[in-house]
Amino acid sequence: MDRRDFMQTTAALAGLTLAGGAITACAQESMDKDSEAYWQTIINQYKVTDEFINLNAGHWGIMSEPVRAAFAEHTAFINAYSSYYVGHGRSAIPSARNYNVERIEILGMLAEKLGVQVDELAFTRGATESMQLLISGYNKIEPGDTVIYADSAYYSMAAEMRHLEVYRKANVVQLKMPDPVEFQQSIDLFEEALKNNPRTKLILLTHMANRTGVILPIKEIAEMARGYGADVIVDMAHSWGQLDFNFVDQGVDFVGFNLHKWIGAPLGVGLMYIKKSRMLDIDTKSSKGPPGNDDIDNRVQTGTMNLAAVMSVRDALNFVNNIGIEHIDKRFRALRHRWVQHFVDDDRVDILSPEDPRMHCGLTSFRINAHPDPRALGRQLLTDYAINASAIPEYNGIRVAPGFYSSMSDLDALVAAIKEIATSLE
Amino acid sequence: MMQRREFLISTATVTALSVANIPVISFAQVFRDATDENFWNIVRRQYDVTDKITNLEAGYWGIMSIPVTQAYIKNTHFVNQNSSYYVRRQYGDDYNKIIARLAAKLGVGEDELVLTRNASEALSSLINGYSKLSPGDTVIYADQDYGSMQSEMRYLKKYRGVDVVDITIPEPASYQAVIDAYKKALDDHPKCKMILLTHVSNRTGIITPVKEIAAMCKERGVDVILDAAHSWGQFEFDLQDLGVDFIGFNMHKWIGVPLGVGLLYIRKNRILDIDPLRGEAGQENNNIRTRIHTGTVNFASVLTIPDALDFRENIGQKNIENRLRSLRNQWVNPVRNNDKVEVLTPDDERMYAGITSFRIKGKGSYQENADLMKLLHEKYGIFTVAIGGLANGGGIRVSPSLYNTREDMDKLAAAIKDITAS
Repeated sequence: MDRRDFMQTTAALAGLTLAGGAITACAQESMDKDSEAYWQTIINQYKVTDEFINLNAGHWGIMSEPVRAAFAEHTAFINAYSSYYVGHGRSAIPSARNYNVERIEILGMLAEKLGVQVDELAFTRGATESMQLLISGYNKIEPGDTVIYADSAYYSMAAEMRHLEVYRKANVVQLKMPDPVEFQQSIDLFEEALKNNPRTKLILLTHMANRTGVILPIKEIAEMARGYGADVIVDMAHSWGQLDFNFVDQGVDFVGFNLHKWIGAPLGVGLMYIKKSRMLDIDTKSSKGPPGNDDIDNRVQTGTMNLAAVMSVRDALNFVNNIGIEHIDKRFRALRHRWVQHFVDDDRVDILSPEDPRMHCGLTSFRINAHPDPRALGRQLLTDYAINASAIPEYNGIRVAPGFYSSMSDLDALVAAIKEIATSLE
Repeated sequence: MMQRREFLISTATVTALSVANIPVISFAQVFRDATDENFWNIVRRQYDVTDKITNLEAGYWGIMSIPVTQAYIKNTHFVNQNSSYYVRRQYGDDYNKIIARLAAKLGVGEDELVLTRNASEALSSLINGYSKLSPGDTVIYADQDYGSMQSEMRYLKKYRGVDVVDITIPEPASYQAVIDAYKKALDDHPKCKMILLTHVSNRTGIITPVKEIAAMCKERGVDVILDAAHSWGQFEFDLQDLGVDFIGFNMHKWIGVPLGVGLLYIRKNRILDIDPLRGEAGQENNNIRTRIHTGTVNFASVLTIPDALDFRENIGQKNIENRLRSLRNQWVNPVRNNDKVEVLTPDDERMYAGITSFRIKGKGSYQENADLMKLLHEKYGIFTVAIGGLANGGGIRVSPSLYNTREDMDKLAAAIKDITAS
C-alpha cells in the first residue's frame, strides 16, 4: 500500500470525513472569537451525546471531531506500519516517516506554546505519572527535612507526598486550605508553614484545584518559597489549556501537565517539564541508565505506550491554538459566570472558588448548604435534570466543569436545577 | 432529552461489548494445518499492513487485525461521546466483565488480575513492590531478561539493600542446560529470596522451562517473578501448571489489543507480599487493584480486549502457535546448516515458538548487528531488530506474525544465505 492508498483505506476504515471541519475553519477566520456565533462553530465540531448535559469536562476532555478523525487515522497508520515507523530510533529511508522525529516535532510545538526548550519536556501517560515521577524523583530531601502540601491537592499526589516519609524519611506536613480562601491568604498559608518548618525543601502546589477550581498564585508562592530555600513542584493538570497564563513567568522548575484534559488529546497522554538547569535534582528511573546525566527522557519509563495518541497531540494543539488561549480563557469564564452569577448573593448556595478573577477560570464547584449528601445530589442532577457533574464529598459539593462543547443553555439548565433543588429544601 | 432506559439501549448498540457485527471471520475450533496456505491467507487478509517492507518485527508490538481496529475506533468514539458519564457509571462493570473473561481464560481468580498499561508496568510493580526482601538477601536475574526489568532488579540493591546476581544462559541452550544454569545459581546463592524469569526471552526467543525452575525454587523457598510479556498469545500454556505466583503479561503484543494494555497476576494468597502503590488508599489490604496506580487510562483500548480475544479464539490458540512455529521453521531450517550462522533457539519444540534470533558467527557486537539490521532493511526490504545484552554477543531478532507469508520467511532465508556467501 502506498501512502495515497493508505489514506483512502484509513478514511474508509475510520468512517469519518474531515471535510466538514475544514469548511468550518475557513468561515471561522473572520469571526469574533469571543462571540456566541463563533463558539457555536466550535461546539459543532464536537460530537457529544444529547442524552444528558455533560458538565464533567474535568475528568478528561472530549476530543473534537478533527482530533478524533486524526487519532483514528494515526491509529490505522501506526497499526499498518507498526514497529517500522518507530524504526528502533533510526529510519533507514530518509523520507520515511519516523515516530521519534514526529515526537520531537510535537514536543517542539508544546515547548513553543510553553516558552521552554524542547529538551525540558517529556511525554508521559498523564499528569499523575508526571507528578509521581517528579515527587518521588526529587532527590534534594535529606532525612528530617520537611515537605509540605495542602489538602486541596489531588489525592494521589497527596499520597505521593506522604510516601516521602517512608521513601526519603521526610517530615511531611499537610496544610488545611481555608474554604473560602483569598489571594493573599493562600500565600500566607504557605509562608507561615515555611516559618514553622525551617527545614522545608519541597512544596507541592496545585495550580487549579481539581475539586473546587480554586487557582493558587503560583508565581507569588514560588517566589516566596525560594526565599526560604524551598522548591515547588506544580500540578498543572487542570490549568494549562483552560487558563491564559504565561508559563515562564511563573518561575517554576518542576511541573506536571495533562494533555487529555484541556488540550483535548486522546486519553492517556501527559507532559512533564523539568527546567534544564534542575535536571539532576530529579532521579533517573531505575531502568534508564546511570544517574548524573541530564536527559529528561531518562526520567520517564513508560514501556510501549499508545503512540497514535502522542501523534494526535499535534492535531489537538492545532485545534486549540486555532482558537487561541485568550479566547478559550474568556469563554470558560463566561460559562462560569453564566451560572455562578445567580448564586453569589444566594445564601442557600456556596460557590467554592472566589470571585477574584485571579482565583478562578471555568471549572468551579458549589454546594447547597441544606443538602447533606453530595453523591445523592449528583444522582439527583443526573436523574431529574439529565446533568452529569461530579460529586466532591470532601467539600460536600458538586463540581461544574463545562467543556469546549458546552453551550450557555447547558448552564441555564444547571441554574434552574440548583434553584429548584434549593427551594425544595427550604 | 433521552431517558435513562433509552440511554442504556442506545449504549448497547454503540459499545463494543456487543460484537455482533465485528468478527469478519468465524472458524470452528478445529485443527488447521499450519501449512494450509489457503486458510492462513484468509487470516492474513484480516490485517492491513504496509507492503513497503516485510515486517518481521512483531516482537515490538502486535499489529491489530482489521476487526479489532474497527472496534477500537468505534470504542474510541463511544467513550469520547459519553465521556465521564459512561466511565463513572458503567465502565467499572465493563472492566469487571473483561477481567472475568481473562480470568476464565487463564484459569485464575478474578481477584488475582488487574490491567496495567503494559508488561513493564506490571513487572515494575512486582519487582519494586516485592516486600519480602531484607538487606543481605540475594536476587537473581539472567542475561536473557528484558533490559528494563534487569535494571529494576539491579535497583533493588539500592532500594532494598540486597545482593543482585546476574547469570548467563548457556549457549547453545538446551532444556536441561537452562534448568542446570538456574540450579547452579540457586546452589551458589543460598540466600536467594527471589528470581526473575522470562518466559520467552525478548532477546533470543528461547522459552524458559519455567515449571521445572519454579519447582526448584519452591523447594528452597525462593519466589519467582515471571515476565510473560512475549509468551501469552504466542503459544499455549497452563498458568496454574507453571507454579508461579507473580506474573506480568502484555496484551498488545501477541493478544493483539490496542497499544498500552498489559495485565498483572498475583496469586491470591500472595497479594500482601507486594506493596500497594502510593496513591492507593489503605496499606494493609489484599485488593490487587491497589498494586497498580495509573491515573486516567485509554478506556477504549481496554474495551477492545474482548474483540481481540474473539478474533484469536476464532482462529484457535493452538492453530496460531503451530502457524508461528511453522513460519519460524521456514527460515530456520535452511539456515540451520549454514556454519556461518548461529540460530539462538534450539530445535526443541518446548523451547521456541514464533520468535527466534540469529547471529552471524563472530559478529556479536551491537554495532555489527545494527549494521546487519540496516542491511536487511535497505537491501532486502526486511525489517527486524538488532539485539544486544547477551553474554555471548547480540544478534538479529526475527518475529513473524499472522500477517506474514511463507514467502516472507523464504525471503529472509535467502537474504541470510546471500549475506553469508559474500
